[in-house]
Amino acid sequence: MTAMIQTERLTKHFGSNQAVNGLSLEVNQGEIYGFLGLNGAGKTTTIRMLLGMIRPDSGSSYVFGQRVDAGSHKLWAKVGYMVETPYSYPELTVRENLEIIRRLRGITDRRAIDRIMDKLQLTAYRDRKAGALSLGNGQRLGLAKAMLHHPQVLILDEPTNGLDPAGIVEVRELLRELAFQHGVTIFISSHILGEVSRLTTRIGIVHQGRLLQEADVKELQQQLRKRLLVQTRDTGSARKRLIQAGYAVQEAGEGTLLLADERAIANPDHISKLLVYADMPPTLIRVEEEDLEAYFLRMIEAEGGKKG
Amino acid sequence: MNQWISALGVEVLKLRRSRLFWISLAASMMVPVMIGLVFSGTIGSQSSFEGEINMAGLLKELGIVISMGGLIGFGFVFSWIFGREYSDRTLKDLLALPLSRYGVAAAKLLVAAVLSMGLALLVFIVGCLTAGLVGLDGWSLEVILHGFGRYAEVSLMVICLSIPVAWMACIGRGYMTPLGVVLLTIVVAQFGGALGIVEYIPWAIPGLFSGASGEESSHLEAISRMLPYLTGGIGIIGTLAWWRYADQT
Repeated sequence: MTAMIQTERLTKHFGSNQAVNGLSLEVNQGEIYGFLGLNGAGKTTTIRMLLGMIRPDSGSSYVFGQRVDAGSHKLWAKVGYMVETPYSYPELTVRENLEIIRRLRGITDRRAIDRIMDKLQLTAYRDRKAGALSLGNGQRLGLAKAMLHHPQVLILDEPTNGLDPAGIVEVRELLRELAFQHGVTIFISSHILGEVSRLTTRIGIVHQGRLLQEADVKELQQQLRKRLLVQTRDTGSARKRLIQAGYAVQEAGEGTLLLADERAIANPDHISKLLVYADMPPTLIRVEEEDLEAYFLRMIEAEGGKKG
Repeated sequence: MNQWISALGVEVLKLRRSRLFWISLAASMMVPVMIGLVFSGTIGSQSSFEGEINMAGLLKELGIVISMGGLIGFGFVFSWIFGREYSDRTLKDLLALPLSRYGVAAAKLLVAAVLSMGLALLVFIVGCLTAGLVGLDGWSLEVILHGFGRYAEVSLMVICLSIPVAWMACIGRGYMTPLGVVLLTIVVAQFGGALGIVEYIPWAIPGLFSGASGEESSHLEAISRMLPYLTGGIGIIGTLAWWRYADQT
């Protein structure tokens, strides 16, 4: 299958700063790809190169299998995008800003504007000047501009920035519908792994311009660290008993014991039985899984020892 | 072609909604009215103008005003139309469209040039109407038509000289750099006079041609008269090339 979005060893320097370093990735049709990294990791530079706004020092990017460059304007007819915080002409209304995009994209159906405003809950603000919109509604307007022409590929840089929790859920559902029901390929950058993991099917982690890891979200779940949390009324005695039984035990404070070895995690019932027979029945016993945020930070720290 | 016409329409819509448009219209009407009233002796002092106080003198004065004020006024138009995309951070919405970047930049250049021409024409028409209303000596259609040729050429030169301001707005990513460049060109034009090379400084040519320097323009060589148009050509190439080839970070 030809990838809808592809980069090959994409590299870009700004002076002595290496913004993107040999980055290769592929996104297939209907996939929602989460491009994850801290601020300054190279996400926006990659997106700008994908859109032909910046010329790479070396390497190439392809959309619909066609090589991207600043002159390949026909390519963008089926691509919607939002780069960084969206801005609109402040003295023009929401409707007029969308009208500008409608004309520039050659969309003949004028009702497309009403439909996208309805979809993104902007109808109530249609006659409000863009300069007077809240951050969240400005973000919705940016998304509306990106989606107005029913693109087959959507490239979105931090699309849920500034949205309230209800707005985040709405946008997430909208993007899932586009991908899973209409086959739209979506490339989303974010620095919030929790958010990306709820939406995407595959994740690429970028740090200091390099792609550290690329994995399906399901695969990623299996790589998360797990540990067993145990609480009893006598923490000290319970700890001694577990050590006697051959477990490695750590104290996590507030009367909680942590067991990281696989034998304990796979068999919490054995731990429970052991403590009950020792007359120290657990008041809490639970397998805790490392969350994705922690995993992300652990990955980055393992790479460079720095979080940003 | 249709999409390029749409791009033109978009630029016109943005312009119509801007304060710049209405302020520039108001200024282009106020200035010739003031000149007409001073020429008629209604306000100010007629002696503040050199030359004849009649219709021919007023037309010459309008040419002088456009040769100096136009560099600032038209420069501001080009600066705003290009610089606002950087200042308002809306440029990125214009870079990955199914319309060539040359097309978008050319639409902007055309709208800025047409607005500048319109403003120059407005100055001329309002000046002539004011002169007619105050009954200035020598007011006749023949004199007006005779004066219009030179006024139109001066205006065209100034518009061409303003085109590189668009390029500077792209390089400087906003309004401030191009406005600085406009001021610099005026200073350079003045220095050129002191150094005796004024005929080879493009930004000084409209002033010489309109008679702002008090000299006759007939001695201007063809190369001098070509310089503003060459400068405009360089401005067009520079602006289009910048949109097409420069990294848009």
